[in-house]
Amino acid sequence: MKKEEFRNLVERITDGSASDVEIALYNRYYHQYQKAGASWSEADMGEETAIKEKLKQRIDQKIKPVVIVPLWRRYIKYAAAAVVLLTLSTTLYLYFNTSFLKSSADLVQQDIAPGGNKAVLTLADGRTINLSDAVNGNLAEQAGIAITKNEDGKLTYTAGKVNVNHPVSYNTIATPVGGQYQVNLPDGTKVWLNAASSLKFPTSFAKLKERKVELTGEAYFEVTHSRDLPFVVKSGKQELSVLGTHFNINSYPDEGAIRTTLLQGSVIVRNLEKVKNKQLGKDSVLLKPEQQASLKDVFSVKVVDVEGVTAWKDGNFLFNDTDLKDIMKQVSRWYNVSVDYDEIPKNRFFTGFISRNVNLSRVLEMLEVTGNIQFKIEDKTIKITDLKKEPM
Amino acid sequence: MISYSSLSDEELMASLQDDAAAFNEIYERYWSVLYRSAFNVLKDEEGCMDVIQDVFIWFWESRSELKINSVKAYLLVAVKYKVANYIRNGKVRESFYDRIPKITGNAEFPDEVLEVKELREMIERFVVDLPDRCQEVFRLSRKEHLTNKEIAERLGITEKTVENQINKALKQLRKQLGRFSVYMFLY
Repeated sequence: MKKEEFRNLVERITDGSASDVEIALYNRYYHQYQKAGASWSEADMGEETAIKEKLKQRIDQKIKPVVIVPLWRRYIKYAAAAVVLLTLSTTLYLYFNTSFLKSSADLVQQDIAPGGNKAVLTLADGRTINLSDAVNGNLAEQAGIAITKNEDGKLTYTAGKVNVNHPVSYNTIATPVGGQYQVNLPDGTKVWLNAASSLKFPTSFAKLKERKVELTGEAYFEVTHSRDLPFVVKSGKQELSVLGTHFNINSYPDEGAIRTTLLQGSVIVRNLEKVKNKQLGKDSVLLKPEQQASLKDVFSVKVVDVEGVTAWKDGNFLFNDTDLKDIMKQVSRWYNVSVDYDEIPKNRFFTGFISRNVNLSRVLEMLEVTGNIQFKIEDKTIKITDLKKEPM
Repeated sequence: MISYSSLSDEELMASLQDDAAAFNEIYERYWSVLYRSAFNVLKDEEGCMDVIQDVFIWFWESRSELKINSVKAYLLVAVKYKVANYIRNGKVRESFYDRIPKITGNAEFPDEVLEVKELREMIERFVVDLPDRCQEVFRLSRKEHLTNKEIAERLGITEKTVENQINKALKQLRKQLGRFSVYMFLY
């Protein structure tokens, strides 16, 4: 049989137009091919176990459900440890400086609780579900995918029969100021969403050529490796592509730059505003571990303290020579307070560690102790006094 | 804790609805025989990966409506169909066409009629997913072999609509068949 005839035959088989005679003919060809043998030939086919694993992995990424997990219970143990450390340092300080009592009392009067697991899920059809309030059980059904919430607050997407005529549907999970959440995507990828952030993701990867999500705010990603399906994160004017690795993206508008920090593997980040004439190093960067790309007008790359960048997802603030202004941005997003940035002392750097699971006063106390500054909370706004400047 | 390897195919199918472990066991049992079947035709790892992956994903996604006597036989027919689809999408190398075997005029296997029926049903599984009207038009055209004019008269629509619906059906079918076959590489 000639190439064209054979192509016509398979075409009619696949589009459903084949007659019984044509189907019988194709069957005969198929049988003829099968005479080549029934056993595994390592010389032609490669190592059987390796192929088996690889194939299973590819299948699993396409059929696993999306899972959304509250972050809260993850870091209870860190919280306990941090409180002990903090208490210790406060006691020492009180012993040496009694004037601290006054300011600390001021703070406690109007104390503010830390953020928690809060998020709103928006379905493809526009319905919204408040995840903190939602009762356990079946939450919604969309395009054949059921969303259920179980006892520990975890959300699971289970694909039933996927109708091929449905376009791919997208959901968005958004955290408020003082909220956080985790999403496990169908391919095993985990995304930790920081406060005041949102992630738009497909409810199933089954029909997609790439795993594309959109981020606003900050998130930490642990992307499952896949050679065939690149993982793409769009955040503002930046697009990141990766095959599988760990990284953090901070794209809060008030940060003035989109910062991408790589923990392992390699990623490419591109400036979407420069579609043409991309300059390597300025409009498109290949990052190595421990490097951070900062995108303002162009990219700049530096080596950073990775632990400090990702501490939030383990439930901590970790400062390593961090400027007070940057610290206060994190604090305001987590405790849902405003900060009076006009009065903020400049060039004040802090190094330290504290749980995010403590009241605001605790964090501010720590900063007061080490930084010669004083905080006051009025109407959910933090005012800062520089004690270095004040006459004692 | 159930040991899945001790279950029969029927028992696995019964627990497949909400149980990924049953799916894993079915993969465990049949992936190799399916892969070898596809490899005999395609002689290409990437192609076989695509085909077997498609078959298992489709099997999982349509598990709620599958009524199967023999899991292995059923999956083998699905592979047979997907192999045709893979060739149709122009994914095979040129050398593939030099290997097309010669076949004799007479059927050499006794189950030919049954096999035609099985493959016909498999093909129809994929046609079923089309939107209703489109599906009806397509069925009348390809199964009852009516002309566009006859279909138009029977359904009370214009010939032009019939033509459009058939084109739509073919396009949808192609899209659906080719949907797992395109892959991108980063570097």
